[in-house]
Amino acid sequence: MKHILIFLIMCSLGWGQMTGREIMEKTDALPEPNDAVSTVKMSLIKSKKGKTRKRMREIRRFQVYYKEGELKSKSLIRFLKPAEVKGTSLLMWEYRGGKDDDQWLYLPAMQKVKRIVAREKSSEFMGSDFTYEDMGGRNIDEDSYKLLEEEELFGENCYRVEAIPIKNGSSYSRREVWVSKDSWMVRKVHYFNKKGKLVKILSIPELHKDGDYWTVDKMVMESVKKSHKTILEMKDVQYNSGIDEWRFTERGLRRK
Amino acid sequence: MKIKIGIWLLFLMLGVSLQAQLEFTGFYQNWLAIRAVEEYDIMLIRNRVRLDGNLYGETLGAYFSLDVRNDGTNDESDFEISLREAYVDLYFSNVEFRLGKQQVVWGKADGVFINDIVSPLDMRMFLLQDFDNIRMGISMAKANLYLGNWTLEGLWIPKFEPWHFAKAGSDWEFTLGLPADTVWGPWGWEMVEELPYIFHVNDEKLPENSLENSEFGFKLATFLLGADISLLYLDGYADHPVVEDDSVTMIIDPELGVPTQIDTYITPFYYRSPMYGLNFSRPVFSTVIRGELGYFAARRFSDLNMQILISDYFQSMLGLDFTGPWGSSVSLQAIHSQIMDYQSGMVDDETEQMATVMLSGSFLRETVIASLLGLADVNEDAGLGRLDVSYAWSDALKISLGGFFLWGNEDTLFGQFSENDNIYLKIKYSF
Repeated sequence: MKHILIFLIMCSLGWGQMTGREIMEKTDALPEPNDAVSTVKMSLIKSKKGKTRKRMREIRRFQVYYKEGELKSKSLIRFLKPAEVKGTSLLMWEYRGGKDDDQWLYLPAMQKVKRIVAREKSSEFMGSDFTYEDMGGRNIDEDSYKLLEEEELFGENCYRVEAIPIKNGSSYSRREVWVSKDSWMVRKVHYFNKKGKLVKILSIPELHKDGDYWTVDKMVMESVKKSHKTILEMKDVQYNSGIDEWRFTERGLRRK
Repeated sequence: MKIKIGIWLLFLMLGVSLQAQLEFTGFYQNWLAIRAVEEYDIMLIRNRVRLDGNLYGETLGAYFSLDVRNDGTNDESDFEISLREAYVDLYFSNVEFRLGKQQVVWGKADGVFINDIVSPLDMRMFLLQDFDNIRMGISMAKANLYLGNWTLEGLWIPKFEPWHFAKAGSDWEFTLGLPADTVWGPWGWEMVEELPYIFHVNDEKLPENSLENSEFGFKLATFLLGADISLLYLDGYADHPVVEDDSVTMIIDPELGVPTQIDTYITPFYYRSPMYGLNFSRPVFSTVIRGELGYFAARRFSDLNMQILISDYFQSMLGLDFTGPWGSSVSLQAIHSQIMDYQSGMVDDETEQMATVMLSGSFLRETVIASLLGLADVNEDAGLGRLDVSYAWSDALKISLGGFFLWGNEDTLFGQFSENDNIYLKIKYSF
């Protein structure tokens, strides 16, 4: 009886329970492919006074990840839709150690490759509800974590973890992240602005496991006050297809 | 020979079509421009349809761009169908070939063309065309060799194609001539009083079609220490002609025995002027620094006596691109031109400076884009400004409203068109 009592007290104090940091480390440790190719359909939906207005973007994304060295990843984004910007391509080289990304933009109508600098992290990505900061993700060491509670979400048991930036530089004062206990994938994020108000909600209702890798099939980012949301749907996803290195050069930018 | 080439191309196209995907895109655009100075007439009603066909595969590709355009004004219309580009691509592991009518863009500057001289320009509307329509495709063979961070591009242009200028009598006809108040007679003395001095322009003299007159060039490009660097060489013709006088006729008042009018017959001609260039661009913090240096050997310049003088010529551009919050950006460019061996009497100035500014911002989730472009000739206090606001009504439909404003004395590049200020409405449907 005494042992049971001690066990219950320990449980109530959190003994045996994972910390917020440990949960996020599990997420961070999910296997990553060497490269990935996917087509992303982006729907920008505005709702106002019962009316809905929808705009579409579609991009093809090529990405290669480097396990070591100065380069962390290279990615090439090519616009497929709408027609006016079809063929416009963005090449990004991401580095380790805080070095700024190298970026190039190819404008097919001008047939010109332009060197560009990364937009501010808080800028909207292609007019969507995602910012460049949201799309880029965060290094695990950039935030401190605290486990808030456990909840069921999309039919799965999830941890709800609070993430607070350790240093300035983020657009958000804090985030609340729902992590699945089964897959260790993020299923939902609440974003709070500098005043502590909830501004955006990211939901990941659909995902599946393809071999060793989890693939997000659909994610929805909703701006709370702006009656606007962005739906990203992934299709034709391929992992470890051995993308040629030249894809991530000016040659790849210009190649149709 | 032509039949053989045609069969070969047909075969190639068939091969491409069997292995590759076929896609068509394009747009319809209506462009209405109304003069913003007295007369306030309709300067342009342009209807344009563009159809682009694209075949692309792993080892072969092909592309064509067909343009159908009808320009109408109050009293005339001008219809044109043109094949802007039509080429075949061949892809190998480290080498690519592009054969056919194509555009090549070598410059880093926006709105000015220093090293970007491979493709001729369509100047029939001066600089008012959209910059993505201002270059013209020319027949050439191009090869690219890729070795690590290095790319060597070689091109051969069998036949020189000049810039297109507006026809005589149109709003955009180039009217620059000799200064009216300092007319030198070709016989060598200064006229004491101004006379009607009438130029008669003969047909331009183009180089004959021959292997000797073909053009060729190279570009060596690399990514070094965070910078994109290109070395350029083009052995070709200068992109616009100089004029020389063929004959001069002086009409003399029979009673007074003094000249009353001078008729000069001039012939524009093209000449070879090799170009050596350097391009670079590199980001520094939140700014991209870019530049072009171009050295042109044996350029021809007219003097006030309509004689041709020869000198090397140098042009440079330094540009800064700032990226701001909320989709805003600022681009500044300073351009310097120098006649290396300046000789008195040359019509052109020894040095010229230009500055450009481009401000732009996007709003309402990138559906509204506002931009202000300014090109100023610092020496002459002349320039061009364009204000444009465009709204993406839907993914396919874009509406633009704006205005072009040109200023300066009528003997300056921009000022000669100062009566052509206009406001415009463009509607573009992309498919």
